[in-house]
Amino acid sequence: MGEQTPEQSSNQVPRLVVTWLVVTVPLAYGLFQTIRSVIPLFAG
Amino acid sequence: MALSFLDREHTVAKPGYSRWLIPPAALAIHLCIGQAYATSVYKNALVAHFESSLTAIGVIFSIAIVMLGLSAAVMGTWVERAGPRAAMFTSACFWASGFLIGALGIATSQLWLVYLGYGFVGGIGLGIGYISPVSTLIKWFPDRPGLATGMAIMGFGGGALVASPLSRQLMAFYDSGYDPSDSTSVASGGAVTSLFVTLGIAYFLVMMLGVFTVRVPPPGWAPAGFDAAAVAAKPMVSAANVSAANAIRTPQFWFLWTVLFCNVTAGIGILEQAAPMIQDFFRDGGTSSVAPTTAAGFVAFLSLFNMAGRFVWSSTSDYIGRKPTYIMYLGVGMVLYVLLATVGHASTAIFVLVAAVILSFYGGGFATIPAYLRDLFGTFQVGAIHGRLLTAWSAAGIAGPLIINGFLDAQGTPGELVAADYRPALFTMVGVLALGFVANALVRPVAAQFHESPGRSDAFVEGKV
Repeated sequence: MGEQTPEQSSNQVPRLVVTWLVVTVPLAYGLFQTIRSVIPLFAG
Repeated sequence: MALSFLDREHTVAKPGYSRWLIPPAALAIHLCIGQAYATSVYKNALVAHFESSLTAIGVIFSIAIVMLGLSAAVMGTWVERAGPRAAMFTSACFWASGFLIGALGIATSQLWLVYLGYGFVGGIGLGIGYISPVSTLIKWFPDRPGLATGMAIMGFGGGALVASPLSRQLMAFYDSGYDPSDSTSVASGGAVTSLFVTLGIAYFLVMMLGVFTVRVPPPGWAPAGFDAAAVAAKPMVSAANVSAANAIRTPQFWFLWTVLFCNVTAGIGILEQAAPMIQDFFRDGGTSSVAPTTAAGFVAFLSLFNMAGRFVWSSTSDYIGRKPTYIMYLGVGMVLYVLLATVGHASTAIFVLVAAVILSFYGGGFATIPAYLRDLFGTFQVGAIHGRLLTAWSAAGIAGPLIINGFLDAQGTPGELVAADYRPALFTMVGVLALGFVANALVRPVAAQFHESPGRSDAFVEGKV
C-alpha cells in the first residue's frame, strides 16, 4: 500500500495547516518568551 | 456505544490519510502534559497559601512523576491493545481531572486533595499520555522513527516552555496584586485555583485535537518507497517482534533501563541545581558575579537545549544508529562533565556552553529511547515496553537530586558554595555516565527465543487477543 495520491494529499492540506497551527502557535509563544528570558544571560 | 469511536478499529486510517497529521496529534498531547515541568511557577504561591514548606509542596510533583512511571509501566499493554485514541482520551480525562481536583484542594485549603488530584490522578494522565502516541508514530514512520518520536517528546519539553510564561500571565490576570516580573511577588491561592481550572479545561480541549486526529495505519501500510528489508539489514535493527512480557526477561531491556537511568540521573544533576550552580561557580569572596536574573536566563537557556536536543539528536539517530547515538550521549557526556568540573569556572561562556550540550544529551536520551526499543524489540508492543522502561526515569528522578544534594550538603551551606565544592558530585556523575556507557556497549540483538510468531503479533494489533 502506497502513501497517498497527490489528489488525496491536497484534500488534507487545510486540515494539516490547522492541526499544525494549533500546536506550533503555542510552541512559538513559549519559545519567544523563553528567548526573552535568556537575553540577560548574554547581556551582561 | 457512545465511546465506540475510541476503539482501535474505528481509528484505522482510510487510504490517503496523511501521516503528517500524526506528529501534531502527538504534540497536542505532549505539549499539554509537559506542563508537569512548569510546577515551580506557582510553588511559592502554594507554600504561602497552605502555610507549608517547599518540601511539602514539592511532594505534589514527586507523586506525579512516580505515577507517570508506574502508570506507563502498568497501563502500557492496555495502551497498545486499546489504541492511541482511547489512550489519549483517557489521558486527557485524568490530566484535566487532576487539575480540577487540585483546584478544589487549593480552594478548600486541603493539601491532600492537591496530592490526590494533580499528583495521583494527574500523574496517571501523564504516564498514559506520554506513551500513547509513541507506538503509533513508529508505525507511521518506519523510515524515520527517531524523527517521529523526537517531535513528540520534544513537545514534552516544549510544554514547560509554554506553561511557565502562560501561567505567570494568567495568575497576574486573576490576581491584580501579583507582578510576574518581580521574583518576590507571590500570587494568591485564589489565582492558582483559577489557573488550575483554566489549564484543566484548556488542556482537555487541546488534547481532544490529538484524540480526533490520531489514526493507526491500516495493516500492511508502508510509506512510499519504504524498503523494510533495507532497514532490517542495518546493524542492531531487528525485523522480529518481542512482547512486553518477554522484553523484561531480556538483558537488552535492563541494559537500556540502565542507559536511560544513567543519562537522566546525570542530566538531572545539572537541571536540579542550575540557577544556584552558575552563581556558585563564579563566586569570589562570598559574592557571585552572576546576578539572579542572569541565572534565571541560564535556566531558560538550558530548557531550550533540552527541548532542541530531543528533536535534533533523535532525528540524527535515524542516520548514525541508536547505539552510536548513546555512545555520544554517554561518552561525550563524560568528557563534558570532566570539563565542567575542571575548567567550568574559567569563563561563563565555557560553563554555559558545556552545560547546554549536556542538557541537549539529556533531552536526546529521552527522545531516542523509543526508536532504540523499536530497533531491538520490533513494533509489536513497543509502547508497552517503553512504558516499563520509564520506571528508570522515576528512579533517576530520586537518585539524581539525592546525589547532587547529598554532596553539596556535605561541602557547605547554600549561598556559600564555590566551584570546587561541586567537583565530587560532578565526578560522581562521570562514574554514573560510565556505567551507562558500559551498559550501552553490552547491548546486542535480542535472542530468537524471545521473538513472537508473526501470526500472534498481527492478531494482537488487530485486537483479537
